[in-house]
Amino acid sequence: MRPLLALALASLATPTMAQDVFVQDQPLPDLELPTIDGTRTIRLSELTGPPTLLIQFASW
Amino acid sequence: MPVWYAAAKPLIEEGLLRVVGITQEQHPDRCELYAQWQGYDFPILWDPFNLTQSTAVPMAMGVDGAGVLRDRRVDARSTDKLRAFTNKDWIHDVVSPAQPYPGVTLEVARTGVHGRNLNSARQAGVALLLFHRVLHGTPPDAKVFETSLLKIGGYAGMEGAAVDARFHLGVAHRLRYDSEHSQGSDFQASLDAWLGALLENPGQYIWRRRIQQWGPRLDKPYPFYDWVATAQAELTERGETPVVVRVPLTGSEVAGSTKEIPLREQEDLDPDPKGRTPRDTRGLVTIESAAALHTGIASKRVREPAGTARIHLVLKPGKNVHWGNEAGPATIWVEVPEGWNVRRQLWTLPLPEEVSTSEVRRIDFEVRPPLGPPTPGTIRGVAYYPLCEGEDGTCNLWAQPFEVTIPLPDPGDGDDDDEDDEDGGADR
Repeated sequence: MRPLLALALASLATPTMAQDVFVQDQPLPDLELPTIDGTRTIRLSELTGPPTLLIQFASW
Repeated sequence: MPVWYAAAKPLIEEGLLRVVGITQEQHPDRCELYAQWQGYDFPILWDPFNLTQSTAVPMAMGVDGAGVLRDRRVDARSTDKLRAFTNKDWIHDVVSPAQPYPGVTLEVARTGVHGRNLNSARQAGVALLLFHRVLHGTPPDAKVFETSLLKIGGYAGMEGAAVDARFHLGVAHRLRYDSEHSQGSDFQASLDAWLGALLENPGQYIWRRRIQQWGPRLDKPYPFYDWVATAQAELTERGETPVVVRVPLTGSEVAGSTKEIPLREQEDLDPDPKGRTPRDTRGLVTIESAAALHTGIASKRVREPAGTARIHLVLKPGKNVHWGNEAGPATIWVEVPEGWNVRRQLWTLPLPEEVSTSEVRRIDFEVRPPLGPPTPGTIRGVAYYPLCEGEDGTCNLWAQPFEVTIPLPDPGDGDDDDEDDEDGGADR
């Protein structure tokens, strides 16, 4: 099998997009994002301790 | 958003709740300014690639102390309602968190090591851009942009690729466009990639907003960044130094929405009908252009105004030249095809007070095709600019023709879409 074709087939075998990142009654996804000031990252799955109000927003 | 934070604050002070924000913006510094202005002291995460797959904002989710999502739309309008959430006891099963993008991690960005398939490479390309500032304290360099774009584009161009890869490609192009490594085609490439993604998923309003930010007023749900000047002024008045907005706001990013179809406001006179002004054949100034289409084009039910587009022109002076401001402003003469419309044909670019400057100059305006099905078209025009060469060199008025082609995609490629505005306006 040619390498490019093999690579393409391997790609197709990989899950390409999660159906739902946030699922009711499931842990937050293991997703790491930087803070807006670029000084650190936070992993959503590590938000434990006190309950969290997670707000998706934009300044517009 | 301010209401939610005010409601949460007493619980935060009692140690019963934490707030974490995730912004869906291309430019993190703008959100930083907004947070400074509003006095938000909670961490805000930057998700320009929409890895959280948010389709609407704002949205508040309730997460219990074990990190389990318990309410996808928690009622955060009052402290009492939030206290009802924090007071609940939950039964926990041991479940591992999902990894929607296993290759988008700080570790992958640090090592550059990723899986062998194209999707893993795409995710590594995203990670390189997303985490560069955290890792290195600086924006990505030219090489990082090139590598990332190749990795993301290589997967996005593959048949059967996840549609969000096109959105990621658009974000990467726009990040480079806003950097010192900008290439002239990046702006249009980002808009094209975002529109390609939207055609596949017209109900993805975060993707739609990214185009509308630079799109025509007929398509805008709100102005986007009209609050910036007020925030800067109020912060200064408070004795604070406002967070610097690194990328200048374009006209489209502060313009209000409208329901009125743009019509010719006045008849302008062609400043040089016989073309006597010397042509800038040496490329002393580079003209870049992009056309942001009405996102209604992504739906099958294309309506007439969907043909409107916002044209962005950028004039970049080369090395060893500067604007001859004493001779007046640069101007743009625009000619649209038969049946098309533009509010005016002669546009004047802002003129600084200083005698000699060499800044990048920008202008954006809207064009509208004739009634009927969307049609492609070419906008032609001439930029006129007084320019001086060298420190004490001669100053001349130069002219440079330009063309902006508006290729309209086939709306038949898109899914049906009822175009209801899910995020309901400018509730921040």
